[in-house]
Amino acid sequence: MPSGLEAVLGDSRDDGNPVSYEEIVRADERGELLAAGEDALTSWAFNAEFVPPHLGGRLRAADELVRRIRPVFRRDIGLGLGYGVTSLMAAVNVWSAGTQQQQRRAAELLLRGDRLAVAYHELAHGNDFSRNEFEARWEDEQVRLSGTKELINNVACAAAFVLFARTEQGGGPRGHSLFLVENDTAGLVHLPRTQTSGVRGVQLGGLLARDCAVPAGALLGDRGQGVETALRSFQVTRAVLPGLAVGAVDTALRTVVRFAASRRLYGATVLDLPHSQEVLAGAFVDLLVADALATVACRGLHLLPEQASLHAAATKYLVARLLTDAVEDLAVILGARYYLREGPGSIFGKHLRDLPVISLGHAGETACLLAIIAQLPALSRRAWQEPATPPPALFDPAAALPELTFTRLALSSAGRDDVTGLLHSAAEHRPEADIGPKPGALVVSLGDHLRALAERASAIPPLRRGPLADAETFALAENYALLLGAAAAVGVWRARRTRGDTFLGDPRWLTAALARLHARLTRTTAPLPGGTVEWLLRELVCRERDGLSLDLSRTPVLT
Amino acid sequence: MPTVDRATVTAWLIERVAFYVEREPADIDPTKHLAMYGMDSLYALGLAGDVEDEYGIDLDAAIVWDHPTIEAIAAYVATESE
Ligand SMILES: Cc1cc2nc3c(=O)[nH]c(=O)nc-3n(C[C@H](O)[C@H](O)[C@H](O)COP(=O)(O)OP(=O)(O)OC[C@H]3O[C@@H](n4cnc5c(N)ncnc54)[C@H](O)[C@@H]3O)c2cc1C
Repeated sequence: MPSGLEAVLGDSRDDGNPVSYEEIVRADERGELLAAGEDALTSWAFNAEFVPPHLGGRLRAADELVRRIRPVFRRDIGLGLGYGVTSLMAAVNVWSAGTQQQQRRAAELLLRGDRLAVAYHELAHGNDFSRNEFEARWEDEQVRLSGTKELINNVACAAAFVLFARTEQGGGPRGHSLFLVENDTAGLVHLPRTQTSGVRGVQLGGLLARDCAVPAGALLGDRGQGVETALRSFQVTRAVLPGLAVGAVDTALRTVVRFAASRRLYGATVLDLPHSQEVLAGAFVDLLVADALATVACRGLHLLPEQASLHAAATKYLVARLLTDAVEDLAVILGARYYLREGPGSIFGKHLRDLPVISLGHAGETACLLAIIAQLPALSRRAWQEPATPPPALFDPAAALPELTFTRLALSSAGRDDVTGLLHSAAEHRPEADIGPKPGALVVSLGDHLRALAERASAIPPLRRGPLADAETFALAENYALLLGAAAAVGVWRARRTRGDTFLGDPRWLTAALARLHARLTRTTAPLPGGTVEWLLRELVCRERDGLSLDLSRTPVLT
Repeated sequence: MPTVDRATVTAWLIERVAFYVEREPADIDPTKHLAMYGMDSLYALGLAGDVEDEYGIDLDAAIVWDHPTIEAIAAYVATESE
């Protein structure tokens, strides 16, 4: 039986359910978040998921958070972001840098059902936020704010917001600070809403301040610590968001499996056609890899916090990429139906429109790759040559985790990476006998790619190690993300085999996963390895029939 | 840990910064703000890694931000290695 939020949201295909797909798509058409969906989340005290236990909430392990709130993302990314995750993006800054009083205030607001907004972005500077211009000046025990913020989710309806403002003339990495500002501050002006092509219910707005006074106690963390706190907090949300997006692709894939099983063409069902089978199996495997990587990144926040800057950036990039590609491939099977804004395929179309926000918003693809590029040379000197043994708990959601300690999240991994080197250790342990001949050979080849990456990364010209990176350097960062994804898959497969999981402990999904990552790495396309398509498809069809999620957790769903 | 001499660190840092910004070491003034040479917050990550490699001191990028000139970093490294 479904439990938790899944049960609260109920059967999404039942038109009598106020939170059905039909109602979700209708609300999206109106440019609103579905009110019944918001009510359901309120009844479950959704915001408590973002508040640590010592402040009265239920926030524990990051990967557990992802699994607990994924049900809303299976149904509606807009609702998940609009009602909730925006508040998480704001709150982590407060948990990371706030005083006890600020933490209590943020917890109080969230637990009574209010929202927090997070105002970093200025259109003029995009991801280059250390050049932002919104200014805060100290004057007689007060801070005076002046400037404009744009594309800020929930800025009009939030009770308070976390503000990123320049506090030194020249800007730069020590030139900005964060503030926790009450939204009813006199003199703040809210700018008109900006419409979006996806997540249409999300309320993007802007903020205008002209010499607006807030108490000096609004400063969050130390003066000049804004960029640093932001970069730490981003690590958490960059790991969590991709994991949530897995939920939307679960529904997209499920919708297409249903269609393919029922639609008859050429005297057979679409599900019987070899091309459809290959696309479905491929999307399924990519979804599993995405979940494996997101799980590793989330658990890494607890277990390898010193390396999280690297792993979270790679995860945000690759998971968003895998998921958007998978949905685009699946659209081909749905044919014209994916383009219709009504009927059973319309939830697919909505997810297809909404998904890009996961890669665009909150540090775009480019920003994530740049965060990796800056670290590549040090990594090439210290990591990747030798086998690594990551903590086994990294791959096993059933294992206990230490608490998340924000101060241990470092700005750079300083050349350490205890995950990717797993490819070498897997290759060392007689991979043919251990994993089977096919994945064994793939693991060996991926290990070779990792050594090649180290070599090429050590030769990146100095000017290309920052924003002036060229296409070749960007490709190295992409390769790194793919190799990390492969290591995550190997790790998850091993952990599940140890636990006797008959599906995830089987080498066949791993073979398919590694083959697909390998193809991306070599910029080629390759069919799925022999014998894997039928096997994957059987599992996929069973899960759809039995109402089980298509991710790693295989949990009952009502979608 | 052997003590490292501040002048040696300064000279070494001048070489590194010159390498990053592709200029002659003679053009790099150790008292000037690194941002003046176009070293932005991302390059600080690379420099922090170099210092760790060379002197075996844990150095977070934030420390480079707090010590934004070559002289300041050299003083920090010399103190840390005592
Ligand atoms: C739905 C939605 C909700 C949002 N909610 C919020 C919110 O609540 N709070 C908030 O603060 N912001 C919010 N934003 C803003 C969002 O965070 C920014 O739009 C985003 O992070 C910046 O992306 P950009 O594409 O504008 O990046 P820019 O930095 O302007 O870059 C534009 C493009 O230039 C290219 N580029 C940039 N640098 C380089 C380089 N060095 N090399 C090569 N190419 C480069 C990239 O292709 C990049 O995509 C939201 C945005 C959306 C769409």
